[in-house]
Amino acid sequence: MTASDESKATVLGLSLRLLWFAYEAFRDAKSPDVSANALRQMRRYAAELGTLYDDPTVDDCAALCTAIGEVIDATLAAPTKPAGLADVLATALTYLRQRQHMLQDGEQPDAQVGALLPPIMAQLQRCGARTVTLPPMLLAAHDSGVFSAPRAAGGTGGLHDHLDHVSPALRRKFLAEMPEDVTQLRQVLLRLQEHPADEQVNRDGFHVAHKIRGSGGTMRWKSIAGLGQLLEDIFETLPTLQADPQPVLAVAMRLVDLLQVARDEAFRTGQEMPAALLEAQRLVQSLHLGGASPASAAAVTVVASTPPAAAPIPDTTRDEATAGLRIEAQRVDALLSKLIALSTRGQLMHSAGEDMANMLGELSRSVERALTRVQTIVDGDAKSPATAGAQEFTSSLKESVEDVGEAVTALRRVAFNIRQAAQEQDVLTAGLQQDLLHLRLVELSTLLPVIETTVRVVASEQGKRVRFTVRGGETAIDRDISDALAEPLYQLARNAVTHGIELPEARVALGKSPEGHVWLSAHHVGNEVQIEIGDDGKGVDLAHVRAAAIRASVIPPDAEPSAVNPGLIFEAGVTTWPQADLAAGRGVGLNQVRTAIHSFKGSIEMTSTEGQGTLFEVRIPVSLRVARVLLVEAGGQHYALPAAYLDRVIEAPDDIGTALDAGMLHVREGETTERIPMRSVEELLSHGRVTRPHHPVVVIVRNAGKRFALLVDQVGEQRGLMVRALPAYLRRSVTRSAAITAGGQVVLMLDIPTLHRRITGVRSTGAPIRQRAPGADAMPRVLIVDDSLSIRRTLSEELAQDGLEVETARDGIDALQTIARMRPRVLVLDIEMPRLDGFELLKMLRDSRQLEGVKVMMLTARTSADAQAHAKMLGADDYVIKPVPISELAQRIHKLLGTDDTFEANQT
Amino acid sequence: MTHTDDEHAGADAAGGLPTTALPEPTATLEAQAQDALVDTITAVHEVLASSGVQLAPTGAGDGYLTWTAGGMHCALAIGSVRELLPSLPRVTSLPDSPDWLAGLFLHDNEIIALADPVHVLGRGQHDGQRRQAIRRALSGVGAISRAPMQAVVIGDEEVKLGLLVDEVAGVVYGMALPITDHSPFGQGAEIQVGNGRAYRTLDARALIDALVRELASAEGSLDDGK
Repeated sequence: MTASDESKATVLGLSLRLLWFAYEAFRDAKSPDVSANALRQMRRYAAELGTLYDDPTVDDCAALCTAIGEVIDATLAAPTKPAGLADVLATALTYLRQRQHMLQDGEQPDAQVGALLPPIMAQLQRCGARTVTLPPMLLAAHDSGVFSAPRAAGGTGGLHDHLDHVSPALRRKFLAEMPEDVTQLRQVLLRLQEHPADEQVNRDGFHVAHKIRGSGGTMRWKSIAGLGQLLEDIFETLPTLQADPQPVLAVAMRLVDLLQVARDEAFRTGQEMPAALLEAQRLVQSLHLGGASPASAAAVTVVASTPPAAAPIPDTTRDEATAGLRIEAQRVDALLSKLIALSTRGQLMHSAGEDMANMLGELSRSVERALTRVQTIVDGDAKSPATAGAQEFTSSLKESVEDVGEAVTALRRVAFNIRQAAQEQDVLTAGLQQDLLHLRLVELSTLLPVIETTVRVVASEQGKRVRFTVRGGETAIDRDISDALAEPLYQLARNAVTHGIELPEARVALGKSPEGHVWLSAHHVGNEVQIEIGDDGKGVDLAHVRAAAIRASVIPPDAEPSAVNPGLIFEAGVTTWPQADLAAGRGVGLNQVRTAIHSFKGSIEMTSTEGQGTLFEVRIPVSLRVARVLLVEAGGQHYALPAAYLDRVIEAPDDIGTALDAGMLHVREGETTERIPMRSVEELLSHGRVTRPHHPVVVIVRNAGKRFALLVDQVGEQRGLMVRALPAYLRRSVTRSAAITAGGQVVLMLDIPTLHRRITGVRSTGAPIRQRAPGADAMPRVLIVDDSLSIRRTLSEELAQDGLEVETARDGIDALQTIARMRPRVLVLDIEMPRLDGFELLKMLRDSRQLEGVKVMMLTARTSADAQAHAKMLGADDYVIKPVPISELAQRIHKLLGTDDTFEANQT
Repeated sequence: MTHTDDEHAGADAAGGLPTTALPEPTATLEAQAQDALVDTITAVHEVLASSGVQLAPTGAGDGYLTWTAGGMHCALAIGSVRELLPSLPRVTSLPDSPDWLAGLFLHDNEIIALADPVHVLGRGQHDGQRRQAIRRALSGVGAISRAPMQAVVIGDEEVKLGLLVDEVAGVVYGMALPITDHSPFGQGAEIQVGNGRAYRTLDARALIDALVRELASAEGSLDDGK
C-alpha cells in the first residue's frame, strides 16, 4: 500500500467516524428536533463519504452511501420515521466500517462479504431508498449462489459475527501482551538516540514494529497496525538517512507514545483510536521522509509543532530509569490487603503483649507477698527452733518462691520485648503501606496524548487553530483515578475547543491572536490534585445559560438575572448547544462530567469571563484508597474528618455555650464577622445526648462553598490513612466509610456533605428544599424562644429538616436581640423564662409594633384558661400545651406559615 | 449428631423461627425457662455419667465450639467458626446502633461487627454490670481482671461477625437432644451434650442474618426507609 493510499484510507476512516458520531446522535436523540438535525448531519457526511469512494473496488460502499442518503431524505420528508430505522442504519454503517478495515489492509471483498450487501440494501429500500444497485463486482458472488441464503435482517451483531472472525479474547490477549513490545521499542529508540548508526538495534526495532503491524492487522486493530507500519517505515529509512536522525527519532518516540495510548484505549474500551493514527501520520508527514525536502526542514517543523512547554510526552528517560518492572495494579492491591491484615495481627500481638505484662505484674506482686510470708516463717523458725524437717521445707519453699520471682522478672522482660517489637512493626508496616500506595500512582502525563490529539483533531474538524500547552504532566495520581479521569478531561478539552475557541477570523476581529490557546495544568494541593483546563475563547454567555436553564426547568422562568450563574451549565439538561452536539460531547454533557468527578470524590468549578475565556478547575484526591484526614475526638470516640473539607481549626471562644445553643458561631474574618452554623459532633452523632467538653475545639469545614463549624473535644494530627467503605449494613448516613490506622484500628470517617445537610436542613438530594430567591424572605424564618435546651434543639432540627430557617433564643432578652436581626415570620414562645418571660416579651413586641406580619405560637406547660385568654389578648395566634409531640408542633407551625400543604407532602 | 428433616419440621410446626431480629418481649421469661431446662439436662447427664452411662461418647458426632457468656452455656457448629482471636480487638463504636453492638473492628482486612450474645439473646438489656464489664474489657482494663473476655469470629466468606464471649470452653462432639426453642437463633430444637454439660446450640447463619438485618434497618442507616 502506498503512502497516498494510506492517507486516503485515513481520510475515509475519519469521514466514516463522523458519520458514526452523527448516527449515534440520531440514535440517542430525545426530541424530534435533535433527531432531524442529526439526520441532516448524517445526510451530509454520507454524501461526502460517497464521493470519497471513487474507485470501482469500493462501488458497494458508494452505493450504500447513496442509499443511506435517500433513506434519510425520505425520512425527513415523511411525517413519521420508518420502524427500525436506527437498526437498519447501524447495519449499513457496520458494513461500511468492516469494508474500511479491509480497505486499510488492502483486502478485496469476497463472496462472503458480498452476501451481506443485498439484505442490507433490501432493508434500506424498505426504509425509502430508491436507487438500490448491486455493484458488478459483487454480482459474481451473487451468481455463485452465495446470495441465495441472505441473512435475516437483524441488528449489527450478526454482521459482526460474520466479518469479525477474530475472537474478542484473542484480540484482547494481543493487547495484553503489547506493553512488552512498547517497552522494547522505547529501549531501542533510546539506544538509537545515543548510537544512531547501530544497525543491529535498528533491526531489532524494525522487527518489533513489523510484528505489531502484522499481528495488529490480523487482530483487526487498525490504528495499532497503522502505527506499527509507520514505525516500521521509520526504522527502514533510518540507515539511509543523510540528515540528523534525532528529529526523526523524536517523532518515533512520540509514535511509540501514541501506540501506547491507542493500545490503552483499545484495552480499556475495546474501541479503536483513529485519532492516534491520524496524529502519527501528521507527525511523520511533517518529517518529509519520503520527499525531497532536507531533513533539517523536518527538524524545524518538529520543533515548531511541539514547543517544549507544550510537549505532553511522558518523560521517556525517566520511564527508562524506572522501567525495571511492570506490576499489575491488582497485585499491589493484594499486597496492600495482606499488609493491612498483617498490621491488624501486629496490633493483636501488641495487645497480647500488654495483657501478658499486666498479668505478670500481678503475678510478680503475688510472688513478693509469698516471699515476705515465707521469710516471716523462716525468721520465726530461727527464733523458735522448729523440727529439722520443717526448717528444710521452709527454706526450700523460699528458694522456690525466689525462683518463681526470677522467672516472672524474666517473663516481664520478654513481654516488654514483645510490645516493643509490635510497636516497631507498626511503624514499619505504616511505611510499607505508604510505599505500596505509591506504587499505584501514575503520572497524569499518561492521559495527555489522548487529550492533545483530541484537541488537534477537533480543532481541524471545525477549522479552528488551537495551541495546546501542558504544565505539571508529572503530577502523580492513583491508577484508578487516572483511568476514571480520562473521559471527563477529554470532554472538557473537547468542550474548550468546540464551545470556547472562536474561528480564526472571529478572533482576529476581536483583536485576539488567530490561534486560540487551550491549556491544562496540574499540581498537588495537599492530598489532592488540582487540574485546570482553560481556554482563551469567548467565555460563557450568561444569557444563553439563563435561557437553557429555564428550558431545562432548573430555574423558574421569572428568575432574577442575579440568580443566574455560569455554574448552572453543570445541571442536568442544561445545554447551550441547540443541536445534537457532535463535536463536544456525543451527548455527554457537563452534567455527566461533574457526576463522574463527584463519583471519585472530586469537585469541579467553572469561572468564565465573557470574551476572555473559561476555566474549569477540577480537584480530585490523589488516591481513593488513602485520604488525608484530621483525627478528632468527640464523646470519647475518634473520628476522621477528610482534610479536603477543612477550612481551619480554632479555639472555642468563651461564649461557646451560647453559640452552641443558638447553633451559630460568629467567626471574625479580617474586618467583618461572619455567622456560620455550628453543632457539636457528639450531638450530631448521638441524637442530642451530649456531654459538654471542658476545652472544646472548633473545626471549621467548607462544603459546596459554604462553611459550617463542628465542635469537638480534641483535635489530633493530620494523617494519610487508608480508606475503606463500610459494609452496607454498617453504613450510616453520617459515616459511610472508615479510615484504617497503621495499627489496624477502624476510625469512622465523617461524611461532611451529610453533616452539612443535617445542620442546614437541606434534603439529601443535594438540592435545597426551597430555592432561596434573592429576596429577603425566601425561606420562612422561625424563632424558638424557650429556656429548655432540648425543646430548642429538637424543634429546630425538625423544622430545619422541613426547609425552614430556624434560630433559637434562651429567654425574652435574648429573643429581642434576635428578632431585630432576623425578622422571623413565626415566633414560638415559652411563657416561663428567666429575665424576660413570654408574656412580657409579647407585650413589648406588640407595643413596639414589631409583631406586624409575625405569627406567634405560645408553647407552654400552663394549661389555665386565663393564661390562654391573656395570650390571645396580647396577640398570640396559637396556644400549644406541653408536652406535645414534635411532629404535631411542626405541623402547627407550618399551618401558621401557610406551608402545611408542602409539609404534608414532605411527610408522605 | 444429625439433623433430620423431622426435627426441623417439628420446629416449624411449633411456630417456626421468628423473622424479627429483636427478641420478643417475652424472651426473658422464655430464656429463663430454657436455662432451667439446660440445667436440668446437665444435672440428668451428671447423674447418668456418675452411674457410668455415657450419653455423648467422646469424639462421636459433629464438633461444636462451646463457650459461656453471662452465665449461658452455648455451642456453635465448628464449621461456622472462623477464628478465636488471641486477644480482644480494638473496637470503634458505631452511631445509631443497637445495644448489643459492642463496636466495629478490622478482621482480615474486613470491617466487621462485634456483638454481645448476652444482649442478643435478650438477657442483658438491663444488665448494667455486664455492659460495664464489656466496656472495661474492650478498653483494655479487663485484661487485668481474672477472666478477660474473648472474641470468636463466626460466619462465611460473605459476612462475618464477632461474638464477645466470657470464655471458650472447648470443642465437644455431641449428640442432639431435641427441645423446643423459639428464640431467633436457636438451631431449631437442639441442645448439645458433652463434657458433662448441656449447651444451647446457636444457628450461626440465622444469628448473623438477623443481626445484619437489624443493623441495616437501624435509625440513621443508609438502608433505613428503603
